[in-house]
Amino acid sequence: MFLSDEEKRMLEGKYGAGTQRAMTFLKTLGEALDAEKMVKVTSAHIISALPTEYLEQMTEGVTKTRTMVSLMPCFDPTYWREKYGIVSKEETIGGVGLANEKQYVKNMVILRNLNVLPTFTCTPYTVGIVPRHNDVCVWAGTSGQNAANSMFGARAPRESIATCVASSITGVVPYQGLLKPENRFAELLINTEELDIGNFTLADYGALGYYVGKVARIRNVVFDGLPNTMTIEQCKYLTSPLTVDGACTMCHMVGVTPEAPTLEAALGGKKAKEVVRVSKKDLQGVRDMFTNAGGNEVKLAVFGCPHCTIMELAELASLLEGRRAKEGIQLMVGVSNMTYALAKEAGYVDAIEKVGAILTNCCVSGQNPLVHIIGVNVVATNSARGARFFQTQTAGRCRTYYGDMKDCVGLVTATSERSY
Amino acid sequence: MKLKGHTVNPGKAEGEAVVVNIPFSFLGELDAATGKIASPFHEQFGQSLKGKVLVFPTGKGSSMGPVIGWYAMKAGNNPAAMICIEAESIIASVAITASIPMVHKLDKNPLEVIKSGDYVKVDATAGIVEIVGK
Repeated sequence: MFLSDEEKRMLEGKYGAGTQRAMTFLKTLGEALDAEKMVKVTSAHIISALPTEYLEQMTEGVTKTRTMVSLMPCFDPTYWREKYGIVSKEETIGGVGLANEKQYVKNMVILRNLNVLPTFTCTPYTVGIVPRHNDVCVWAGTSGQNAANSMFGARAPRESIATCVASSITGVVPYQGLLKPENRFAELLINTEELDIGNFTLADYGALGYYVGKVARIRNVVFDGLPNTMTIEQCKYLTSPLTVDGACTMCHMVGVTPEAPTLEAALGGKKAKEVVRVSKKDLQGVRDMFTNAGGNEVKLAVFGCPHCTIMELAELASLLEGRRAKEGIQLMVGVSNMTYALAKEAGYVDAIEKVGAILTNCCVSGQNPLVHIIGVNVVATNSARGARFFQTQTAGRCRTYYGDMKDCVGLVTATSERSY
Repeated sequence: MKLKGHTVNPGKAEGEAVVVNIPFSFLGELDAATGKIASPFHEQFGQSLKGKVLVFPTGKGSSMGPVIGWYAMKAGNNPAAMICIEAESIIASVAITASIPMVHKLDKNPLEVIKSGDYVKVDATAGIVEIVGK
């Protein structure tokens, strides 16, 4: 693998042990994946939920990152202890690390010293980190990777948190996978003729995304028959479950994805290797799988996996108007700090918090403290990604009810009594 | 039988093969505290991977895989080696971060020639897999 002189200096340890480890990792990875060289990174997105020993090793001798680095959502033990009295002494939560307060504080000191941006969101594009066409985004969070590719035409390879950390430190990433234009064309053509896409709810888009991700595995797909007026929210719910039981990181939406003005362009002028027809029955199968609990058993409704956009909060505020949470049922909404601030200004936060809902920048699925620490075991959600994570990351303990935001709100709230 | 392939992460190890026929994700499917397949939705739920040679098609799912691999390494619960048809970046990162010898792109499909229970020697540095037998 070709390394520039500066990359060789990193590898030889001229910039300290952490940089050397990061470059060694990237070189091993690049060689495994037949990358011929490294390329410069536009932005990296990492998570604070890392084993402290690992983070210390990787940042040893590092005084600043070599690219803009932002942060995924993470369970903040201090915040949850002080505000809600929820304490976790474990090292991991939902399989992901760092529920322990001492570790969290230690990691955040390391990250803040490196000027990592405390964005705490899985949707960097909602906090001003909007990828441009052809930007190289090395982002943790496979939903963000897919969004960067499919919504924005950036080059976001399927990478792990370990690559994202190494790329933050070195500013480069192996040139492989979706970074290469020839690897970005669609191989699978998804035919949606049988589906009533015009009337799809966001949960329907999620069921479609989950189904297609499982079939596609790691192959790129192009959807035929989606409206070319897809909203950010529709794109988000379609693309985010593609990487849950699959690894499909490039999804062409004709007329929406910058590289897919036409179906032919998405396929690179070639014939699709395979055509997958999705039936109504297929989607019902997904809905059934994600509804393994009865509506009357639900203890918690979760929105914001991935984190809510401002328009979703507007909708939620409007759905909650004149309603109250049912006895013993909680609502939790995942949202970035910046979207929260805007929603507060717009009056949505007050409308949502009035019913007792918790708005949080925490990850509300894989690191949801109510599910993973308190042990809530039935959750209603409008997110296919979230539903699957609740099921798998609790080893099946947590059962789910899957429905659109409107269904879920209807399930967990009742009309408030009017006071005259 | 000997298979020749490509290094994902160097190193040598041997052990009993566990063949998993669907893509694998460390997050959600491996319990770092026990080394067992943790998802009840998985066909091989409860199967221990600790010290085994994991044979599977490729990776899938979460980018957090290496964190699980790291915790499993600290607890001594990882597979001894991994063999897959073709690694994608996340499963390759798990192998490198958790120091698991791993090979891919072998001259024969490992899912077809290796059976669960076979004793397998992996020289990931040289990219060689030897199936010794039961």
